[in-house]
Amino acid sequence: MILAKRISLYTVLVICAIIMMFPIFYAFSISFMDGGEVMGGQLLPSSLSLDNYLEVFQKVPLLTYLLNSFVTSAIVMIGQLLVSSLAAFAFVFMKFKGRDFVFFLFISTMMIPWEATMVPNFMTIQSLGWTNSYLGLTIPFFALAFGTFLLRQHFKTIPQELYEASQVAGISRFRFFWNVILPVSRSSLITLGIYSFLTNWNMYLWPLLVTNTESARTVQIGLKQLQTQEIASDWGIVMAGVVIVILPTLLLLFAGQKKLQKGLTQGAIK
Amino acid sequence: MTHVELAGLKKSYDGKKNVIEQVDLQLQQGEFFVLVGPSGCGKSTILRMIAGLEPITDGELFVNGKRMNDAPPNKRDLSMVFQNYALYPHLNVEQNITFGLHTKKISREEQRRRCLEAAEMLGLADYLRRKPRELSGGQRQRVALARAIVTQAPLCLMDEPLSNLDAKLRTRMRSEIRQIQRKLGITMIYVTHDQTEAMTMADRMMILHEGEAMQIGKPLNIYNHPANTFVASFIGSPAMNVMEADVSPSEIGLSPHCTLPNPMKGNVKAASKNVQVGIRPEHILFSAPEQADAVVEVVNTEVLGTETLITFILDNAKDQWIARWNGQWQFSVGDRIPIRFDLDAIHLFSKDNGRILWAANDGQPNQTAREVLR
Ligand SMILES: Nc1ncnc2c1ncn2[C@@H]1O[C@H](COP(=O)(O)OP(=O)(O)O)[C@@H](O)[C@H]1O
Ligand SMILES: [Mg+2]
Repeated sequence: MILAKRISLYTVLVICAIIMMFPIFYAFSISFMDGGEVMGGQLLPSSLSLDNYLEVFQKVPLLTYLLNSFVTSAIVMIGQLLVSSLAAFAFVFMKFKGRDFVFFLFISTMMIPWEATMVPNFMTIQSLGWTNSYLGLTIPFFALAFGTFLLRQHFKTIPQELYEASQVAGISRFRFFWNVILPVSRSSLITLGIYSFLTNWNMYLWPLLVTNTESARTVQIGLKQLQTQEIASDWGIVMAGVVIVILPTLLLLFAGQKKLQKGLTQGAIK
Repeated sequence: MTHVELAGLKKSYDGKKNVIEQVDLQLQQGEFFVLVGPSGCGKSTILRMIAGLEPITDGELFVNGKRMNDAPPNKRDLSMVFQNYALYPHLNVEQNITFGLHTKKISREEQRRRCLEAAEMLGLADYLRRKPRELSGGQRQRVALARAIVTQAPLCLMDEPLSNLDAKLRTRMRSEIRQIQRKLGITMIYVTHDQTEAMTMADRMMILHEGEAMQIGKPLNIYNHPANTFVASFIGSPAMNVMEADVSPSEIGLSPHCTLPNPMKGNVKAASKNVQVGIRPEHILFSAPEQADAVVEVVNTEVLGTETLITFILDNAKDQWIARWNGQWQFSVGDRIPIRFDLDAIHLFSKDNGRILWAANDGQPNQTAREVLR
């Protein structure tokens, strides 16, 4: 009886997984096919040729794009971690008038969609002359209300007595933050780091606005470029590009899956 | 020599209601002072004001004669042990014990030497590499103690350090803390809600009730001479029996069938006041029927082995009295037994404000008994 239940449950799960995974699998499969095979509607390539991969690197400067994406994502990740954790620290461990009010004001910015502030942000970046540079691609994202919220929830589970004990011991505020709070909150920080890296990696609209040279573009724009260029009919090459771009995402997710789950649910349970 | 002095200390969190009302206190060098009172009475608040973790609303704090109201915690030369131990979960025992010592410009070797010494003293030597979560409650408690010891601060504050331990361990740690304090000669301010801890550990203690100091003194003095009904019923276990009584100049009527001579005869003014009678359980005695003050009805007995607690009523079933007798007494519920009140140990309190009006042993503390007991 239990076995039957289990078998049916797993059957459903497997079917769902197949439906979810099919597009990715198909993209992966197409990336090895030549034009004829794609048009023929084949599901699997007849041979594993890497021609498409070689070609995609020749058609667009994918390596530059990858590097740009990687660098901006890394900078944004570090920036967000620093800014969010410092802000969350202030909201939890420092006493000042109107602290909760300021926090809710801060959080309420989550209700304003990023697209709504895009135009003023763009004008600021433009007047600063930061277009086509890492500065313009990264700095507008450093302050992250969600990240501050996530870390604040975790910091609140850290007993105030730890802070008081270090005050009595004469440890400076920053040292306490650096030597106690950050190590104790490692799992939340990793969660937030992965989240912000992926979000930035997948960003499309903003890089499109602030970059217009090949040397400054990021991968998502590169992909779009692949589709709009004349090679668009050659789906094998486009899909090779896609696979290369989603590879880091998948790797990061697989590596950090456990931590990501733990971090995102931690605040909720406590 | 006076080490710590609180002068008219007050605290208000919201600017309206005072949580601490006017506390005056002088602590001697090397004294073990206990702040005791029910939960929520403001013990932690006082301790945190002394530590500098909470600003002082009014009044003054002196340490070694220097005004310290506005000094940051680390400039006050004290150590503190928290109720939840406040150990850093990501550091091992040794790192926890020495955490922060570097700010006092203590060399690495000296830090290590002090850590080993403290660990040795507290039996932690084998656990120095462990993380706090790999320790038992008692061991964590010791790590917190060790952390206070290695600072070699002359003043140590402890906020209910034993309340997370089981009863047996608590008894052991009580005596251990007391011994360490004596050995190091530090001044201790120890907060607890447990009157047994206060009685057994304190050189002197202060009983606190709703932010007001009820009484300050040596444990036995307070036990024998409670200043009011709150102290009388808070100190001592089981608590002192405090009952309303009808008073006339010559008699105290506890019930229609039980009257005692009014000991305040001489003082006519006080004698006619509304009073409450207080008598400790050990001063209610089993009596021969012909000498009995009353014959009472037993409602419960608890035989503890060396002694027996007898709960009984006179006439009013709502007023339950407790007597404590040595030995093992076996009564059944409903038994009627003759008892006698030890009139030399009776206290009379004002019914209006609870203050002591008269006590049998007033003014002549039993010096010899105290010498023997100490
Ligand atoms: N941070 C605070 N803000 C407002 N009120 C507080 C704060 N801390 C304690 N109190 C109040 O002060 C009173 C005394 O608290 P506390 O000193 O913690 O008592 P105790 O340690 O004796 O149990 C309580 O009524 C408590 O509600
Ligand atoms: Mg407390």
